[in-house]
Amino acid sequence: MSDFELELRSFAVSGANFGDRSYWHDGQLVIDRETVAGLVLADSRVVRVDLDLVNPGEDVRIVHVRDVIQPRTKTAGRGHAYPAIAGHSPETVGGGATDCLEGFAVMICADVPHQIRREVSAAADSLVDMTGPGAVTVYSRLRYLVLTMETMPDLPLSSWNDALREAAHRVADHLASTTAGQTPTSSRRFALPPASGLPKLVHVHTLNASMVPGIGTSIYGYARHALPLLLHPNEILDGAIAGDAVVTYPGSCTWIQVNNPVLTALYDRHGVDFDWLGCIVSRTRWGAAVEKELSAYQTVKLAQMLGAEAALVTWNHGGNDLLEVMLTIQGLEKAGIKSVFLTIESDIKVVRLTPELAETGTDEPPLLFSVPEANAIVSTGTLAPETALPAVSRVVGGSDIVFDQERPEYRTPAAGPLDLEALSGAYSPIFGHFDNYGLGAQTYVDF
Amino acid sequence: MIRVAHYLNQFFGGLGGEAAADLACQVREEAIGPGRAITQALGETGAVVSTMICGDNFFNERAEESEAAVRGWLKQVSPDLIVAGPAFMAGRYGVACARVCAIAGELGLQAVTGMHPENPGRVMNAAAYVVPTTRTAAGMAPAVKAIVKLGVKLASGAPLGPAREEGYLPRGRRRPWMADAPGAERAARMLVAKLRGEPFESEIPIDSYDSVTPAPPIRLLGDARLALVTTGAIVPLGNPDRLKRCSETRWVTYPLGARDRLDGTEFECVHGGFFNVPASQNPNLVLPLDAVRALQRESAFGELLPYYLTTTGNDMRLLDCRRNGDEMAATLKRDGVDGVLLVAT
Amino acid sequence: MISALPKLAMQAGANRVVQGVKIEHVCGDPMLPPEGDRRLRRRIVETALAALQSAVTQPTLFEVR
Repeated sequence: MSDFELELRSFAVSGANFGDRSYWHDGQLVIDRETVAGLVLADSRVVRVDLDLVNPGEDVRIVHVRDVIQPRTKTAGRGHAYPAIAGHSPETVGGGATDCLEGFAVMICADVPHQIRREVSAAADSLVDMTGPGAVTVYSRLRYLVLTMETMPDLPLSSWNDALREAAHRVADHLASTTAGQTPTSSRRFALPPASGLPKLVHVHTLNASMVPGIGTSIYGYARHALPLLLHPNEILDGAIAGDAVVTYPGSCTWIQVNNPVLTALYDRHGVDFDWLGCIVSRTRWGAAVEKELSAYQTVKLAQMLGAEAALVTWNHGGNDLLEVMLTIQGLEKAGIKSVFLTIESDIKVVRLTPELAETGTDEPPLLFSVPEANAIVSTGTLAPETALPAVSRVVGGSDIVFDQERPEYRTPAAGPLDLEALSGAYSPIFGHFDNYGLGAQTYVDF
Repeated sequence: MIRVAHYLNQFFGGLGGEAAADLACQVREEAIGPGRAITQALGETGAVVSTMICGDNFFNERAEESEAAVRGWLKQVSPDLIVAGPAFMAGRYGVACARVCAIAGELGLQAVTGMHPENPGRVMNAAAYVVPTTRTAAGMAPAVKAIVKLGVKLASGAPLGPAREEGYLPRGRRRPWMADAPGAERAARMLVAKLRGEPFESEIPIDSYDSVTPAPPIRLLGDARLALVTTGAIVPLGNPDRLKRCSETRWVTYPLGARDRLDGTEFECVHGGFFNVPASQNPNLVLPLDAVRALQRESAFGELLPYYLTTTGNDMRLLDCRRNGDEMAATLKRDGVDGVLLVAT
Repeated sequence: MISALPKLAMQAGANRVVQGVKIEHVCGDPMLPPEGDRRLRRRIVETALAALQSAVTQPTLFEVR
């Protein structure tokens, strides 16, 4: 078996409960609270943890959501799932066999310390409603073990991030190990055998790099801005791209990176419609125009050296990241590489899908920048509730929400009804409110 | 019976070419030129009952007169539908057609026009229903067909579907919608179609942005009053007005006093869209007061407005950007400012 | 306008655009010694003043020398 043939074995979780020992059997996941709490508190930076089980459809609002991690573990092949972070080996992954718990995830919830709120405005409070009008994202449809953690006070930013992330991965590793030796609910083989005679395609998978040192989406643990590199999609399936516990921007979530529907959509067509060569991963949100241009040029060059004739371009952020993404598309098209851009409507700010928006639309331009070569775009629209959020009977993860980072002393009780537009203004606090990779069919059309 | 009022320029009205471009607006109670094709295409459903012909130069240069003429004409005819053009790539004609549609809209009347997607007339009236045409009148027949089809639907009062379904050009208005497959699927499908040279429809039209008429240059900089403005959210330390790091709606002003530079002990940068620590340590990196004062001392310009204007240019809604820009400009004009150094972040 | 991303500024319709250094520090460079940073800032502002005195008909980039 080659280094990049992967059998992904999914173990569906249709119910989760606490019990005396952790095991998975026939769709039921039983979780040993003591062991889990012990794993979390093994790092003295974490001083307290509450464990909650939350199911889709329940009248629950989860707040202070920081990241969602799907338990995955390698049972054969090189390396460790989610390589190079949380103490895992940095060995190249993507081959052998990987078990994952399907429909279930470990969720990190933590209130943001005051000094971190000031330092990183994107470290905002977010929420997931498991039922009702606010249940508009995929995160409302998963089953969770929620780790609500409190750390020592005054931890520097990167230590706060690491303490939370590492704890969650220790728990995810423990839960993923419950599948050992068992038969999966389903499994799928992922490989890219050469498909001669078919047009060659690359997935240009652009990833935001944090402007704040020490945090952000990482590739094998490397979070800083760097020139583009080549990844096999199986490396991504094995968790080579991971989010952090600080920024709540939808595209940085660890869960969506391993469950990226673009990877499966391309795998479905490899050997049928095209020859998929791999993923060129380039960083975005460089600070200088010349750096943005360089990243775009190098990405195009890699595509050319691979012999690509087509490129599917995605991004996972908003704002000025779009410049290098558009420059990349321009360069690809000028090099004769036919490109399609899959994108959110990043500049149509929607916190509530009002009747006016539905009936008469908005004249906000969907994208802040474009190039004439970007003539093939797929839009994933926006995700927002149609009404204010109702009161809920149970809140997990915290008890109140800060809607204005400039006024962290004003805390809104989380259990009550929430008129997000009135409270939050122009930026949605719903975790995962942008469908960066096109999981759903929602879009926008011109009228 | 749909009664159609049809607007034509001098050329399509059969009155001549460039030489006739200065002709004043005139009305004929019949279909003329392309209007006859429109009547024919309408068949039992309707007919062109009145045609206004206006020289392209006249319409554009004698705007007040021509608009009054169009208004009077439409009020008098009281049509069920106005058709303007089609203008193809003729720029002045396209602009006139767009204006006619706008006037119709103001009068509560349905209107449709046709022109090439690159006709500058399109930016004159983003709300107009414009059917795409070829560059030249060689495409008159399909243009008429498309115009009539859309026009009939408009006249019937039935709600229109999305632009790509009904065959009109995007009008800069987007609405939430459900596609037939998840986005990832559609992206893979679109790429396969593009590879094969098969037709596909992009889901976001490439934007043409408003162009801004440049202000004339400052003749005598030595006499000029300049102002400092930044979207970089430079505020007094402690952010007394709680300027938001993201999604702000307001703009604020702060006095510069006699300072010849900004200091990190007095000011900070609260912009949430970039790493703002360097700018908080040295605010001159975003609001270059030290350099401006040095040049002022050397009489490179006359005066500096004694306060600066700022907001947070991070995820600001377009309607807030526009309003803030208008308000800031009004304030600066009121205070006798001749030129602005606007530092964007 | 002084902007680190002139393409963006010009596409949005800004007619006189001076190339800034970087988004985080448009009017200078904190990595330079203070005198070098100040000299760079002065050249940027001088370019802006020259732009204010220049006639333009469309978005125009003014590079800092």
